[in-house]
Amino acid sequence: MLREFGLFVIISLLFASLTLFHLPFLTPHQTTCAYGFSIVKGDWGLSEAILLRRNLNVEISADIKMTAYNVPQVDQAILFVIPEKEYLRKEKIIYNLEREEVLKLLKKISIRAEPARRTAPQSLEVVIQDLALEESLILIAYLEGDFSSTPGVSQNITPAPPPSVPPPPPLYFNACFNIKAKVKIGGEQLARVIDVAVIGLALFVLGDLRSEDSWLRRLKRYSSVVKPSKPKRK
Amino acid sequence: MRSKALLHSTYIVGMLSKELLIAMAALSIVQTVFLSMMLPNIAVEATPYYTGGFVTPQIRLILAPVLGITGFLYAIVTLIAAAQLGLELERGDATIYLSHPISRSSYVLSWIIASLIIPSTMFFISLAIPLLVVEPRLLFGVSGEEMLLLVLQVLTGGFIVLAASLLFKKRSLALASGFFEYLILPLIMTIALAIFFSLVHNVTPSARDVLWLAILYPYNYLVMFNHLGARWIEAAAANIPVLLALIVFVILYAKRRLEVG
Repeated sequence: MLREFGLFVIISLLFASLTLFHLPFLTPHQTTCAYGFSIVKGDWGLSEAILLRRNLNVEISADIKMTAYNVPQVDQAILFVIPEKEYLRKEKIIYNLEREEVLKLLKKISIRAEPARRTAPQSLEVVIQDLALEESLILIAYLEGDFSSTPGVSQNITPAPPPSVPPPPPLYFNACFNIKAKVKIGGEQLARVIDVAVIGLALFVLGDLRSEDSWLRRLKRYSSVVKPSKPKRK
Repeated sequence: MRSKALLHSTYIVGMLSKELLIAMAALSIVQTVFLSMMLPNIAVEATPYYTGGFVTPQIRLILAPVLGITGFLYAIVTLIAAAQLGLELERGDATIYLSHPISRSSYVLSWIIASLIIPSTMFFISLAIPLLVVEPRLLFGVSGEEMLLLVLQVLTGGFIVLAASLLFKKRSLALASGFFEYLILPLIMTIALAIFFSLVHNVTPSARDVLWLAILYPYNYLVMFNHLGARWIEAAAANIPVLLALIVFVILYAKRRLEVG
Protein backbone atom coordinates (compact mmCIF):
# COMPACT_ATOMS: atom_id res chain seq x y z
CA MET A 1 0.00 0.00 0.00
CA LEU A 2 2.98 2.25 0.67
CA ARG A 3 3.86 2.00 -3.02
CA GLU A 4 0.43 3.31 -4.01
CA PHE A 5 0.74 6.16 -1.50
CA GLY A 6 4.10 7.06 -3.03
CA LEU A 7 2.54 7.04 -6.47
CA PHE A 8 -0.34 9.24 -5.28
CA VAL A 9 2.16 11.75 -3.96
CA ILE A 10 4.20 11.69 -7.18
CA ILE A 11 1.11 12.10 -9.41
CA SER A 12 -0.23 14.95 -7.34
CA LEU A 13 3.17 16.62 -7.29
CA LEU A 14 3.47 16.30 -11.06
CA PHE A 15 0.25 18.23 -11.61
CA ALA A 16 1.10 20.73 -8.89
CA SER A 17 4.40 21.44 -10.64
CA LEU A 18 2.60 21.95 -13.95
CA THR A 19 0.39 24.49 -12.21
CA LEU A 20 3.40 26.29 -10.81
CA PHE A 21 4.97 26.74 -14.22
CA HIS A 22 1.76 28.24 -15.60
CA LEU A 23 1.13 30.62 -12.73
CA PRO A 24 3.01 33.64 -14.20
CA PHE A 25 0.80 33.42 -17.31
CA LEU A 26 -2.45 33.45 -15.37
CA THR A 27 -3.73 36.91 -14.54
CA PRO A 28 -7.39 36.87 -13.64
CA HIS A 29 -8.96 40.27 -12.91
CA GLN A 30 -10.61 41.45 -9.78
CA THR A 31 -12.35 44.76 -9.42
CA THR A 32 -13.02 46.69 -6.24
CA CYS A 33 -14.63 50.08 -6.02
CA ALA A 34 -14.22 52.88 -3.51
CA TYR A 35 -17.22 55.15 -3.18
CA GLY A 36 -16.83 58.82 -2.36
CA PHE A 37 -14.13 60.74 -0.56
CA SER A 38 -12.43 59.97 2.72
CA ILE A 39 -11.55 63.65 3.06
CA VAL A 40 -12.96 66.48 0.97
CA LYS A 41 -12.21 70.13 1.54
CA GLY A 42 -12.80 73.20 -0.57
CA ASP A 43 -10.03 72.72 -3.10
CA TRP A 44 -8.72 69.22 -2.54
CA GLY A 45 -9.89 65.75 -1.60
CA LEU A 46 -8.76 62.19 -1.03
CA SER A 47 -10.78 59.31 -2.40
CA GLU A 48 -11.78 56.38 -0.21
CA ALA A 49 -8.78 54.07 -0.10
CA ILE A 50 -8.38 50.51 -1.30
CA LEU A 51 -6.30 48.01 0.61
CA LEU A 52 -4.25 45.53 -1.38
CA ARG A 53 -3.56 42.68 0.97
CA ARG A 54 -0.92 40.06 0.28
CA ASN A 55 -2.14 36.62 1.33
CA LEU A 56 0.61 34.33 0.10
CA ASN A 57 4.28 34.27 0.81
CA VAL A 58 5.22 34.24 -2.88
CA GLU A 59 6.58 36.80 -5.32
CA ILE A 60 3.61 38.82 -6.54
CA SER A 61 3.37 41.69 -8.98
CA ALA A 62 0.20 43.49 -10.01
CA ASP A 63 -1.05 45.68 -12.82
CA ILE A 64 -3.58 48.20 -11.55
CA LYS A 65 -5.97 50.35 -13.51
CA MET A 66 -8.04 52.93 -11.68
CA THR A 67 -11.07 54.41 -13.40
CA ALA A 68 -12.83 57.22 -11.56
CA TYR A 69 -16.37 58.27 -12.42
CA ASN A 70 -18.45 61.38 -11.65
CA VAL A 71 -15.31 63.39 -11.06
CA PRO A 72 -15.94 67.02 -10.15
CA GLN A 73 -13.91 69.93 -11.60
CA VAL A 74 -10.37 68.63 -11.19
CA ASP A 75 -7.10 70.38 -11.97
CA GLN A 76 -4.84 67.62 -10.85
CA ALA A 77 -5.31 63.98 -9.81
CA ILE A 78 -2.65 61.56 -8.62
CA LEU A 79 -2.94 57.94 -7.55
CA PHE A 80 -0.63 57.15 -4.65
CA VAL A 81 0.53 53.69 -3.60
CA ILE A 82 1.45 53.73 0.09
CA PRO A 83 2.52 50.89 2.43
CA GLU A 84 -0.34 50.20 4.83
CA LYS A 85 1.78 50.60 7.96
CA GLU A 86 3.05 53.97 6.81
CA TYR A 87 -0.44 55.14 5.93
CA LEU A 88 -1.86 54.03 9.28
CA ARG A 89 0.82 56.05 11.04
CA LYS A 90 0.11 59.22 9.09
CA GLU A 91 -3.64 58.84 8.55
CA LYS A 92 -4.77 61.06 11.43
CA ILE A 93 -2.32 63.84 10.61
CA ILE A 94 -3.68 64.21 7.09
CA TYR A 95 -7.01 65.56 8.38
CA ASN A 96 -5.33 68.61 9.90
CA LEU A 97 -3.01 69.50 7.04
CA GLU A 98 -3.27 72.05 4.27
CA ARG A 99 -3.30 71.14 0.60
CA GLU A 100 0.42 71.57 -0.12
CA GLU A 101 1.39 69.76 3.08
CA VAL A 102 -0.86 66.80 2.25
CA LEU A 103 0.60 66.51 -1.23
CA LYS A 104 4.11 66.72 0.15
CA LEU A 105 3.38 64.08 2.79
CA LEU A 106 1.76 61.68 0.33
CA LYS A 107 4.70 62.02 -2.05
CA LYS A 108 7.07 61.34 0.82
CA ILE A 109 5.38 58.17 2.12
CA SER A 110 4.31 56.68 -1.21
CA ILE A 111 6.26 54.08 -3.14
CA ARG A 112 4.60 54.90 -6.46
CA ALA A 113 2.65 57.92 -7.67
CA GLU A 114 1.02 58.15 -11.08
CA PRO A 115 -0.86 61.18 -12.43
CA ALA A 116 -4.33 60.52 -13.81
CA ARG A 117 -5.50 61.46 -17.28
CA ARG A 118 -8.99 62.54 -18.22
CA THR A 119 -10.70 60.04 -20.52
CA ALA A 120 -14.16 61.66 -20.64
CA PRO A 121 -15.65 64.89 -19.21
CA GLN A 122 -16.36 63.25 -15.87
CA SER A 123 -13.94 60.36 -15.69
CA LEU A 124 -10.27 59.79 -14.98
CA GLU A 125 -7.93 56.89 -15.56
CA VAL A 126 -4.58 55.83 -14.09
CA VAL A 127 -2.54 52.75 -14.95
CA ILE A 128 0.19 51.38 -12.71
CA GLN A 129 2.13 48.47 -14.14
CA ASP A 130 4.31 45.83 -12.53
CA LEU A 131 3.79 46.92 -8.96
CA ALA A 132 5.78 44.65 -6.67
CA LEU A 133 3.59 43.59 -3.79
CA GLU A 134 5.98 42.96 -0.94
CA GLU A 135 3.61 44.12 1.79
CA SER A 136 0.03 45.32 2.16
CA LEU A 137 -0.52 48.52 0.20
CA ILE A 138 -3.02 51.34 0.19
CA LEU A 139 -4.23 52.87 -3.06
CA ILE A 140 -5.57 56.37 -2.64
CA ALA A 141 -6.33 59.10 -5.16
CA TYR A 142 -5.49 62.73 -4.41
CA LEU A 143 -7.63 65.24 -6.31
CA GLU A 144 -7.22 68.98 -6.61
CA GLY A 145 -9.93 71.31 -7.93
CA ASP A 146 -13.17 72.98 -7.01
CA PHE A 147 -15.06 70.73 -4.59
CA SER A 148 -17.28 73.36 -3.00
CA SER A 149 -20.45 71.75 -4.36
CA THR A 150 -19.45 68.22 -3.38
CA PRO A 151 -21.67 66.72 -0.67
CA GLY A 152 -19.92 66.40 2.66
CA VAL A 153 -17.38 69.19 2.06
CA SER A 154 -15.99 70.50 5.34
CA GLN A 155 -16.02 74.29 5.28
CA ASN A 156 -17.99 77.04 6.95
CA ILE A 157 -20.60 78.11 4.43
CA THR A 158 -23.97 79.61 5.38
CA PRO A 159 -26.58 77.07 4.30
CA ALA A 160 -28.68 78.21 1.33
CA PRO A 161 -32.48 78.41 1.72
CA PRO A 162 -34.25 75.28 0.48
CA PRO A 163 -35.12 75.54 -3.22
CA SER A 164 -38.74 75.47 -4.32
CA VAL A 165 -38.01 72.66 -6.81
CA PRO A 166 -35.90 69.85 -5.36
CA PRO A 167 -32.54 69.58 -7.15
CA PRO A 168 -31.54 66.33 -8.84
CA PRO A 169 -29.61 63.98 -6.58
CA PRO A 170 -25.86 64.60 -6.79
CA LEU A 171 -23.69 62.12 -8.65
CA TYR A 172 -21.22 60.71 -6.19
CA PHE A 173 -17.58 60.29 -7.05
CA ASN A 174 -16.37 56.70 -7.19
CA ALA A 175 -13.17 55.01 -8.23
CA CYS A 176 -12.95 51.41 -9.41
CA PHE A 177 -9.68 49.52 -9.29
CA ASN A 178 -9.08 46.68 -11.70
CA ILE A 179 -6.30 44.47 -10.38
CA LYS A 180 -4.42 41.79 -12.31
CA ALA A 181 -2.16 39.87 -9.97
CA LYS A 182 0.71 37.75 -11.22
CA VAL A 183 2.23 35.06 -9.00
CA LYS A 184 5.83 34.14 -9.72
CA ILE A 185 7.66 30.98 -8.73
CA GLY A 186 10.52 31.40 -6.35
CA GLY A 187 13.26 29.22 -4.95
CA GLU A 188 11.10 28.36 -1.94
CA GLN A 189 8.47 26.66 -4.08
CA LEU A 190 11.10 24.71 -6.03
CA ALA A 191 12.70 23.59 -2.78
CA ARG A 192 9.32 22.35 -1.55
CA VAL A 193 8.74 20.51 -4.85
CA ILE A 194 12.06 18.70 -4.36
CA ASP A 195 11.22 17.89 -0.73
CA VAL A 196 7.85 16.39 -1.62
CA ALA A 197 9.35 14.53 -4.60
CA VAL A 198 11.95 12.94 -2.33
CA ILE A 199 9.27 11.89 0.16
CA GLY A 200 7.07 10.47 -2.61
CA LEU A 201 9.94 8.57 -4.21
CA ALA A 202 11.09 7.20 -0.85
CA LEU A 203 7.55 5.95 -0.10
CA PHE A 204 7.30 4.41 -3.54
CA VAL A 205 10.67 2.62 -3.39
CA LEU A 206 10.14 1.38 0.19
CA GLY A 207 6.63 0.17 -0.57
CA ASP A 208 7.70 -1.45 -3.81
CA LEU A 209 10.65 -3.31 -2.33
CA ARG A 210 8.42 -4.64 0.45
CA SER A 211 5.73 -5.92 -1.89
CA GLU A 212 5.83 -9.38 -3.44
CA ASP A 213 5.31 -8.27 -7.03
CA SER A 214 7.91 -5.53 -6.90
CA TRP A 215 7.96 -3.42 -10.07
CA LEU A 216 11.54 -2.35 -9.46
CA ARG A 217 12.75 -5.94 -9.04
CA ARG A 218 10.86 -6.91 -12.16
CA LEU A 219 12.48 -4.02 -14.02
CA LYS A 220 15.89 -5.14 -12.78
CA ARG A 221 15.26 -8.72 -13.89
CA TYR A 222 14.02 -7.50 -17.26
CA SER A 223 17.05 -5.30 -17.82
CA SER A 224 19.50 -8.02 -16.73
CA VAL A 225 18.15 -10.61 -19.19
CA VAL A 226 20.71 -10.88 -21.97
CA LYS A 227 18.95 -11.02 -25.28
CA PRO A 228 20.39 -13.59 -27.67
CA SER A 229 22.18 -11.78 -30.46
CA LYS A 230 21.43 -12.60 -34.08
CA PRO A 231 23.86 -14.93 -35.81
CA LYS A 232 26.33 -13.01 -37.85
CA ARG A 233 26.18 -13.44 -41.60
CA LYS A 234 29.26 -14.60 -43.27
CA MET B 1 -6.75 -9.33 13.14
CA ARG B 2 -5.45 -5.89 12.30
CA SER B 3 -2.48 -7.16 10.33
CA LYS B 4 -4.66 -9.55 8.33
CA ALA B 5 -7.07 -6.76 7.52
CA LEU B 6 -4.17 -4.58 6.43
CA LEU B 7 -2.69 -7.38 4.35
CA HIS B 8 -5.96 -8.02 2.59
CA SER B 9 -6.62 -4.32 2.07
CA THR B 10 -3.15 -4.05 0.48
CA TYR B 11 -4.19 -6.83 -1.85
CA ILE B 12 -7.46 -5.02 -2.70
CA VAL B 13 -5.61 -1.75 -3.29
CA GLY B 14 -3.17 -3.61 -5.52
CA MET B 15 -6.11 -5.08 -7.41
CA LEU B 16 -7.75 -1.67 -7.84
CA SER B 17 -4.48 0.23 -8.24
CA LYS B 18 -4.97 1.07 -11.92
CA GLU B 19 -8.43 2.56 -11.31
CA LEU B 20 -7.28 4.32 -8.15
CA LEU B 21 -4.30 5.87 -9.93
CA ILE B 22 -6.54 7.11 -12.76
CA ALA B 23 -8.91 8.58 -10.17
CA MET B 24 -5.96 10.17 -8.38
CA ALA B 25 -4.74 11.73 -11.63
CA ALA B 26 -8.26 13.06 -12.34
CA LEU B 27 -8.56 14.46 -8.81
CA SER B 28 -5.14 16.11 -9.07
CA ILE B 29 -5.89 17.62 -12.50
CA VAL B 30 -9.20 19.12 -11.39
CA GLN B 31 -7.71 20.30 -8.12
CA THR B 32 -4.68 21.97 -9.70
CA VAL B 33 -6.58 23.50 -12.63
CA PHE B 34 -9.03 25.17 -10.27
CA LEU B 35 -6.33 26.18 -7.84
CA SER B 36 -4.17 27.67 -10.58
CA MET B 37 -7.07 29.77 -11.80
CA MET B 38 -7.87 30.96 -8.33
CA LEU B 39 -4.39 31.46 -6.94
CA PRO B 40 -3.65 34.96 -8.29
CA ASN B 41 -6.90 36.18 -6.76
CA ILE B 42 -6.14 34.39 -3.51
CA ALA B 43 -2.65 35.87 -3.52
CA VAL B 44 -3.91 39.46 -3.62
CA GLU B 45 -7.04 40.59 -1.91
CA ALA B 46 -8.39 44.05 -2.72
CA THR B 47 -10.95 45.51 -0.35
CA PRO B 48 -12.19 49.00 0.48
CA TYR B 49 -10.09 50.29 3.32
CA TYR B 50 -11.68 51.48 6.51
CA THR B 51 -9.92 53.20 9.37
CA GLY B 52 -8.65 50.61 11.80
CA GLY B 53 -7.57 48.32 9.04
CA PHE B 54 -8.74 45.11 7.54
CA VAL B 55 -9.09 42.23 9.93
CA THR B 56 -10.10 38.79 8.65
CA PRO B 57 -8.61 37.16 5.56
CA GLN B 58 -11.19 34.80 4.06
CA ILE B 59 -9.06 32.21 2.31
CA ARG B 60 -11.35 29.44 3.48
CA LEU B 61 -14.30 30.71 1.50
CA ILE B 62 -12.21 31.34 -1.57
CA LEU B 63 -11.18 27.69 -1.77
CA ALA B 64 -14.72 26.41 -1.27
CA PRO B 65 -15.42 25.88 -5.02
CA VAL B 66 -12.39 23.58 -5.31
CA LEU B 67 -13.61 21.52 -2.37
CA GLY B 68 -17.11 21.35 -3.81
CA ILE B 69 -16.03 19.97 -7.18
CA THR B 70 -13.29 17.58 -6.11
CA GLY B 71 -15.42 16.46 -3.18
CA PHE B 72 -17.94 15.22 -5.71
CA LEU B 73 -15.24 13.25 -7.57
CA TYR B 74 -13.98 11.85 -4.27
CA ALA B 75 -17.50 10.66 -3.41
CA ILE B 76 -17.91 8.91 -6.77
CA VAL B 77 -14.56 7.13 -6.40
CA THR B 78 -15.49 6.03 -2.86
CA LEU B 79 -18.92 4.72 -3.84
CA ILE B 80 -17.53 2.75 -6.80
CA ALA B 81 -14.72 1.31 -4.70
CA ALA B 82 -17.15 0.28 -1.94
CA ALA B 83 -19.43 -1.41 -4.47
CA GLN B 84 -16.55 -3.70 -5.47
CA LEU B 85 -17.30 -5.67 -2.30
CA GLY B 86 -20.69 -6.47 -3.84
CA LEU B 87 -18.93 -7.71 -6.97
CA GLU B 88 -16.64 -9.93 -4.91
CA LEU B 89 -19.60 -11.44 -3.04
CA GLU B 90 -21.59 -11.74 -6.27
CA ARG B 91 -18.85 -13.65 -8.09
CA GLY B 92 -18.11 -15.81 -5.09
CA ASP B 93 -14.49 -14.68 -4.80
CA ALA B 94 -15.12 -13.99 -1.13
CA THR B 95 -15.44 -17.73 -0.51
CA ILE B 96 -11.82 -18.21 -1.59
CA TYR B 97 -10.55 -15.44 0.69
CA LEU B 98 -12.63 -16.57 3.64
CA SER B 99 -11.37 -20.13 3.26
CA HIS B 100 -8.01 -18.73 4.38
CA PRO B 101 -7.51 -17.96 8.07
CA ILE B 102 -9.12 -14.52 7.93
CA SER B 103 -12.17 -13.66 9.98
CA ARG B 104 -15.27 -12.08 8.46
CA SER B 105 -14.76 -8.89 10.45
CA SER B 106 -11.14 -8.62 9.24
CA TYR B 107 -12.37 -9.18 5.72
CA VAL B 108 -14.91 -6.36 5.97
CA LEU B 109 -12.42 -4.16 7.81
CA SER B 110 -9.98 -4.59 4.92
CA TRP B 111 -12.71 -3.42 2.54
CA ILE B 112 -13.39 -0.42 4.77
CA ILE B 113 -9.68 0.50 4.59
CA ALA B 114 -9.38 -0.08 0.85
CA SER B 115 -12.61 1.52 -0.29
CA LEU B 116 -13.13 4.32 2.24
CA ILE B 117 -9.85 5.20 3.93
CA ILE B 118 -7.67 5.06 0.80
CA PRO B 119 -9.90 7.37 -1.32
CA SER B 120 -10.09 9.78 1.65
CA THR B 121 -6.29 9.82 1.81
CA MET B 122 -6.12 10.33 -1.96
CA PHE B 123 -8.49 13.26 -1.68
CA PHE B 124 -6.43 14.81 1.07
CA ILE B 125 -3.12 14.29 -0.77
CA SER B 126 -4.44 15.72 -4.04
CA LEU B 127 -5.54 18.86 -2.22
CA ALA B 128 -2.68 19.14 0.23
CA ILE B 129 0.29 18.79 -2.14
CA PRO B 130 -0.44 21.72 -4.50
CA LEU B 131 -1.18 23.89 -1.47
CA LEU B 132 1.92 22.66 0.32
CA VAL B 133 4.12 23.49 -2.66
CA VAL B 134 2.69 26.94 -3.30
CA GLU B 135 2.28 28.07 0.28
CA PRO B 136 1.96 25.76 3.32
CA ARG B 137 -0.02 28.47 5.13
CA LEU B 138 -2.84 27.87 2.65
CA LEU B 139 -3.34 24.40 4.09
CA PHE B 140 -4.62 26.02 7.26
CA GLY B 141 -6.74 28.33 5.13
CA VAL B 142 -8.74 25.38 3.85
CA SER B 143 -11.63 25.14 6.17
CA GLY B 144 -11.03 22.16 8.45
CA GLU B 145 -14.69 21.96 9.38
CA GLU B 146 -15.76 21.92 5.75
CA MET B 147 -13.30 19.11 4.99
CA LEU B 148 -14.47 17.16 8.04
CA LEU B 149 -18.13 17.42 7.04
CA LEU B 150 -17.33 16.41 3.48
CA VAL B 151 -15.44 13.34 4.69
CA LEU B 152 -18.30 12.44 7.08
CA GLN B 153 -20.84 12.77 4.28
CA VAL B 154 -18.83 10.64 1.86
CA LEU B 155 -18.11 8.02 4.55
CA THR B 156 -21.85 7.81 5.30
CA GLY B 157 -22.51 7.17 1.61
CA GLY B 158 -19.64 4.66 1.49
CA PHE B 159 -20.95 2.71 4.47
CA ILE B 160 -24.43 2.64 2.95
CA VAL B 161 -22.90 1.08 -0.19
CA LEU B 162 -20.92 -1.44 1.90
CA ALA B 163 -24.09 -2.35 3.82
CA ALA B 164 -26.01 -2.73 0.55
CA SER B 165 -23.19 -4.91 -0.83
CA LEU B 166 -23.41 -7.19 2.21
CA LEU B 167 -27.21 -7.31 2.15
CA PHE B 168 -27.82 -7.77 -1.58
CA LYS B 169 -24.47 -9.35 -2.58
CA LYS B 170 -24.80 -7.57 -5.91
CA ARG B 171 -22.59 -4.78 -7.21
CA SER B 172 -25.30 -3.19 -9.33
CA LEU B 173 -27.74 -2.93 -6.43
CA ALA B 174 -25.04 -1.60 -4.11
CA LEU B 175 -24.05 1.03 -6.65
CA ALA B 176 -27.67 1.95 -7.32
CA SER B 177 -28.37 2.42 -3.62
CA GLY B 178 -25.18 4.51 -3.26
CA PHE B 179 -25.96 6.77 -6.18
CA PHE B 180 -29.56 7.12 -5.06
CA GLU B 181 -28.46 8.10 -1.57
CA TYR B 182 -25.67 10.46 -2.67
CA LEU B 183 -27.02 12.03 -5.85
CA ILE B 184 -30.78 11.62 -6.20
CA LEU B 185 -32.09 11.78 -2.63
CA PRO B 186 -30.50 15.20 -1.90
CA LEU B 187 -32.16 16.57 -5.05
CA ILE B 188 -35.54 15.20 -4.02
CA MET B 189 -35.07 16.60 -0.51
CA THR B 190 -34.06 20.02 -1.84
CA ILE B 191 -37.08 20.18 -4.16
CA ALA B 192 -39.38 19.08 -1.34
CA LEU B 193 -37.89 21.75 0.93
CA ALA B 194 -38.27 24.44 -1.73
CA ILE B 195 -41.92 23.50 -2.26
CA PHE B 196 -42.56 23.39 1.48
CA PHE B 197 -41.02 26.81 2.14
CA SER B 198 -42.80 28.35 -0.85
CA LEU B 199 -46.14 27.12 0.58
CA VAL B 200 -45.44 28.40 4.09
CA HIS B 201 -45.18 32.12 3.41
CA ASN B 202 -45.21 33.57 6.88
CA VAL B 203 -42.46 31.45 8.37
CA THR B 204 -38.83 32.48 7.97
CA PRO B 205 -36.88 29.21 8.01
CA SER B 206 -33.89 28.87 10.27
CA ALA B 207 -31.01 26.42 9.84
CA ARG B 208 -32.27 24.35 12.79
CA ASP B 209 -35.56 23.66 10.98
CA VAL B 210 -33.66 21.70 8.35
CA LEU B 211 -31.06 20.11 10.62
CA TRP B 212 -32.50 16.68 9.76
CA LEU B 213 -30.83 17.07 6.37
CA ALA B 214 -27.46 16.90 8.12
CA ILE B 215 -28.17 13.34 9.29
CA LEU B 216 -27.05 12.08 5.89
CA TYR B 217 -25.65 15.24 4.27
CA PRO B 218 -23.75 17.37 6.80
CA TYR B 219 -21.63 19.09 4.12
CA ASN B 220 -24.59 19.91 1.88
CA TYR B 221 -26.41 21.25 4.93
CA LEU B 222 -23.54 23.59 5.83
CA VAL B 223 -23.11 24.88 2.27
CA MET B 224 -26.83 25.30 1.59
CA PHE B 225 -27.86 26.85 4.88
CA ASN B 226 -24.76 28.77 5.84
CA HIS B 227 -26.63 32.00 5.23
CA LEU B 228 -29.33 30.91 7.69
CA GLY B 229 -26.79 30.33 10.43
CA ALA B 230 -25.98 26.64 9.95
CA ARG B 231 -23.22 25.53 12.30
CA TRP B 232 -20.74 22.82 11.43
CA ILE B 233 -20.71 21.35 14.92
CA GLU B 234 -24.48 20.76 14.84
CA ALA B 235 -24.18 19.16 11.40
CA ALA B 236 -21.40 16.87 12.62
CA ALA B 237 -23.37 16.03 15.79
CA ALA B 238 -26.40 15.08 13.69
CA ASN B 239 -24.37 12.87 11.34
CA ILE B 240 -21.88 11.09 13.62
CA PRO B 241 -24.43 8.83 15.46
CA VAL B 242 -25.85 7.66 12.12
CA LEU B 243 -22.37 6.99 10.77
CA LEU B 244 -21.41 5.06 13.91
CA ALA B 245 -24.62 3.04 13.66
CA LEU B 246 -23.79 2.19 10.05
CA ILE B 247 -20.24 1.12 10.99
CA VAL B 248 -21.54 -1.10 13.80
CA PHE B 249 -24.19 -2.55 11.50
CA VAL B 250 -21.67 -3.38 8.74
CA ILE B 251 -19.21 -5.03 11.13
CA LEU B 252 -21.84 -6.94 13.15
CA TYR B 253 -23.69 -8.08 10.05
CA ALA B 254 -20.45 -9.30 8.49
CA LYS B 255 -19.50 -11.12 11.69
CA ARG B 256 -22.80 -12.82 12.39
CA ARG B 257 -24.95 -12.97 9.30
CA LEU B 258 -22.70 -12.87 6.26
CA GLU B 259 -22.93 -16.04 4.25
CA VAL B 260 -20.79 -16.60 1.23
CA GLY B 261 -20.86 -19.29 -1.36
